[in-house]
Amino acid sequence: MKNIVRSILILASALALNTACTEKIDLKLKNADPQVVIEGNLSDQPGPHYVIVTKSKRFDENNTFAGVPDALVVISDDAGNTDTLTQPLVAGLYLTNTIQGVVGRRYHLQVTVEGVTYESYSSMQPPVDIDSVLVYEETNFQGETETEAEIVVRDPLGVRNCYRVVSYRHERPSTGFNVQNDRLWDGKLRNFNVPDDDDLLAGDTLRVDLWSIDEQAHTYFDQFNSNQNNFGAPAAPANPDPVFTPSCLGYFSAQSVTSKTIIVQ
Amino acid sequence: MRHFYYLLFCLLLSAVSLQAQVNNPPPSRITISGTIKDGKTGEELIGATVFVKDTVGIGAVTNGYGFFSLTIPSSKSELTVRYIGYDDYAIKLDSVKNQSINVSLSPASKVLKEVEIKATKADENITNAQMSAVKLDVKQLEKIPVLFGEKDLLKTIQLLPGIQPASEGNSGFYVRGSSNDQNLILLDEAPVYNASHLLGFFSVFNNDAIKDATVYKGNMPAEYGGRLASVLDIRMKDGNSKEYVIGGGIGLISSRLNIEGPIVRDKGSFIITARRTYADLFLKLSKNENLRKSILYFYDINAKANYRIGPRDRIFISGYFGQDKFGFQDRFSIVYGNATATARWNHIFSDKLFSNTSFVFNDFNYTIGINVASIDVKSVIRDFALKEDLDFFLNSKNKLKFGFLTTFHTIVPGQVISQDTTRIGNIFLTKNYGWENAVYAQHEVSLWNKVTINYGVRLSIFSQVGPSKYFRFAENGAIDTFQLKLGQFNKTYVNPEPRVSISYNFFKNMSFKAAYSRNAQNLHQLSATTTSFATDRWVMTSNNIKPQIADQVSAGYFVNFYKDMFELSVEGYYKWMQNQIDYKNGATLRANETVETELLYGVGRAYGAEFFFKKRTGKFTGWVSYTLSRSERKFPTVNNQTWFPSRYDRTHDLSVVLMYDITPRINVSATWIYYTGAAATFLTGKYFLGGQPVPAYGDRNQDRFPAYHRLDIGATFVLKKRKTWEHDVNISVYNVYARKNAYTIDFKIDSDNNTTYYEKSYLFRIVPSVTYNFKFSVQPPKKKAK
Repeated sequence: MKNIVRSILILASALALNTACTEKIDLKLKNADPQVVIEGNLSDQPGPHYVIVTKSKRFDENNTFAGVPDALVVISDDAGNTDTLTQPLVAGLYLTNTIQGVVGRRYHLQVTVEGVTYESYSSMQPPVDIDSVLVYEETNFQGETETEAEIVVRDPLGVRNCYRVVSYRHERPSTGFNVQNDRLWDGKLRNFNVPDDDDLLAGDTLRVDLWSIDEQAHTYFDQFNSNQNNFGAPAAPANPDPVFTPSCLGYFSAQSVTSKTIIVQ
Repeated sequence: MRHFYYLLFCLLLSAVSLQAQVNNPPPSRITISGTIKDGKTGEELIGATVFVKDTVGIGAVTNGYGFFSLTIPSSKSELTVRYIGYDDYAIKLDSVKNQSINVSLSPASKVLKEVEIKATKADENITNAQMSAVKLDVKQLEKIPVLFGEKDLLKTIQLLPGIQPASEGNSGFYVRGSSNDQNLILLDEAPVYNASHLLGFFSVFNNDAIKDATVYKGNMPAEYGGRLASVLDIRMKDGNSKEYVIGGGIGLISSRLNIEGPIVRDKGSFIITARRTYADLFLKLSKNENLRKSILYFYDINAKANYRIGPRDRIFISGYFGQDKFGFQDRFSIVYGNATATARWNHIFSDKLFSNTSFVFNDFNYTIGINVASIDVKSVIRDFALKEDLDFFLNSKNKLKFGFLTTFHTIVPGQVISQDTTRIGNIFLTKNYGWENAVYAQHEVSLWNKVTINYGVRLSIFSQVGPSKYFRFAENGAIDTFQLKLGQFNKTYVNPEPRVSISYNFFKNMSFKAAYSRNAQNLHQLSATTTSFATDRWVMTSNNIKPQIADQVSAGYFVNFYKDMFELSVEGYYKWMQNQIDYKNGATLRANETVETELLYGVGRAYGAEFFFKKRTGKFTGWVSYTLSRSERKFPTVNNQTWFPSRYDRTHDLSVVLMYDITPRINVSATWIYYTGAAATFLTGKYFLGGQPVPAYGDRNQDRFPAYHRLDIGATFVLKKRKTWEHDVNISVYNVYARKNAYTIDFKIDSDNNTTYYEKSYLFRIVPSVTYNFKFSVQPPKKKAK
């Protein structure tokens, strides 16, 4: 859909011989009260793992989001382990101390903010290996050449697999949620785009992680993307269906991780 | 089903028995019937009036095939035939008996001189019980300036009250707060499922091929059905039956060519029109290599032939074929198109009973090629239909119309065909078959020369039929599959659709009308984005999806004044809609076998007032239309089950259309449109997730796009006009004051300033265009017409 809308814009510009353009626009917006936002991640890799607790703010404020410092954050699993997270680095960034991600276990996150306890569960899925990493050049819609990367994954047959791909350059993770599921290609060999916030350059060290996530997390990210992707002009963007009870913004995802690192030629 | 045939049988029987009665008419009355034609081209005229000279209230109107039947007191012997833009024609009967008369009208001798109106009978828009309907003047359409100079029926109807464009430069339209898929568009009786070319910028209707178009904004006669909101009934030209005419045009982005002429003079004729755009030539000029390698064009062909096999029988064969090709580099491509074919047989059983039998085929299909994933997605929607309509002109006060329609629908939802099955498997979704039947009857009666009542009922029956696979969804999310074999029926829905409209003529030029109608719809298009695309999926009513139903009441006041030079109307309507469809958050509509699980069902309501003021004759013509309206929906899980504005809600909608003939050779025109921006959902805050600020949303559709407005101007210069040869140049400028109307509005992050902002994209600024048109005619040789 994104491609179609983009095509329309390009088409219009081509036909009209004067470019279809974009421009900043001032809109009168309704502002809602700040809401609690929880971003919880736990993996089978060595910890610590983290839970970020913040609040939403007004559109016209800056992009610095202060953490909520006085939350009680507890992760437990179905094997009887419990860990109360602490925030040794910055306010709002809660780190695990003892709990470890083990494939097959179900994890329970509880976050108490201002007397309300938000709860969510996530199950850790078996890892899937990255077959290989491909780097190639492609011309984008504007006609510029870009260096892109893909990973090749052999999807396990007969089970529903959901994936999230995260890339790291100079240890900085890519933003957003690049997710896939195998609804249309169960058991097949499949290429995934590697998300990149900046153009890849020769000599860059690129690490790509393949996260096996559960269906609940995939649904959340998928809904999130369909709404954020306003270039495709969804008729009615909305927040993803909440994964916390009582509802708040954010997600909790337990995942197993496989990784490959290459140097871009 | 048995009931259906029984009912049909009864109807036919009643027609025959009525027939039997009138075969022995009282001697004081005689019936005059026949056809009215354009004297120059031989085209039958639709909606021409025939009435007794100097008498109000005794008259008839020609039907869709130019046929009329009028029963008058035998004491009357003088009739007048009238059609807008033509000279009146007087008939003097030389004998007192039933007779058949064929009239050829001459186009008004001096179009520019103010047409003298002999006001013996008020105009059809006043006396006819039908309301919420507009018959388009196809000739006037040529004068209205449009994008890229492509004359476009669908863009022109958007200038009428109650009809709004779906988006910038889009041929999709919303009628009285309803969605695009609730419009029934008929081309020579064949439904057109996708009426747009080039991703929506042009309609599939080539103006050169169109003879007549009428749009019903609800309260449609019982002969139409299958969609909730509107009917756009387009009739193709039959072709000049007197001489060969070759015409065409060369425009900035497209060219047209058409040829028409007699097969056998005054017995049969043909017309072929064709169009092709060459927008891709512009792409070749681009510096962008991707654009140079892209493909972008459409073409379409209309063809029609008719032949009079006897004084009472005539056959027509018409067809449309068009295709769009769009390819971006070698990455992805979309090819889509419609094909329609109609074969019709007109038969005049008697001077009072006119029959038309049609066999209709239509097909819309698309293929999306996604080369990067080595897959093609193919989809087809196809109908075969048989339609019978009977016009029974009982007497000058009573007219009956009845008939049936039976349609077999096939939908092949987007099938994924993989070129490399090691990467992605083929996905063959179940094909769906539906059998839709309708039988209708309506009676129009005039009383006391002041009141006309048209009432009727349409009974629609729909069932999906095997062989196919269906689903049942349990509350707990469990899915149960069941299979039907060939000849087995899924759930059947029977909907009686009553309709009634009444007009009361206070004076001969002033009337009050009121109407009620119910409509049911069994085919539904799923589109979860703000713009509708050719590739949006159609689904049928099933055991899970119920038929959409709308009830509409409307009332209006209609007046013509200053010798019918001015026309003014005010209409109000209220529409209730049941079983409306919306989508769950992040719904997967493509390649999804159980797409029904992604849908939400709710109710809708739409109401409004429409004002229309038109100057019909003179050097200076045009109209102003204004609509004040609201369209709302309510769904169980949206906005806490409260009413919210729908995507089709536009509070204010204003169109001004002005045309001025400076000299017989120079004509200028301008249109200005303004409408409230579409309802939208903007953010109510932002939060931090996935390493960046992202928007938080509140309730649905509580915000608005900025208001849309635009001025277009145009001029036509006739270079030469001779009897056998004419050519002209048309110049138009779209969006004269370069308003940057928002097409999309996006949330953006400004990392440098640590802030966020909204960005609009807009499609067009000023777009000038020029088109050269020509036409020449050749008299066929007296013998051996080739």
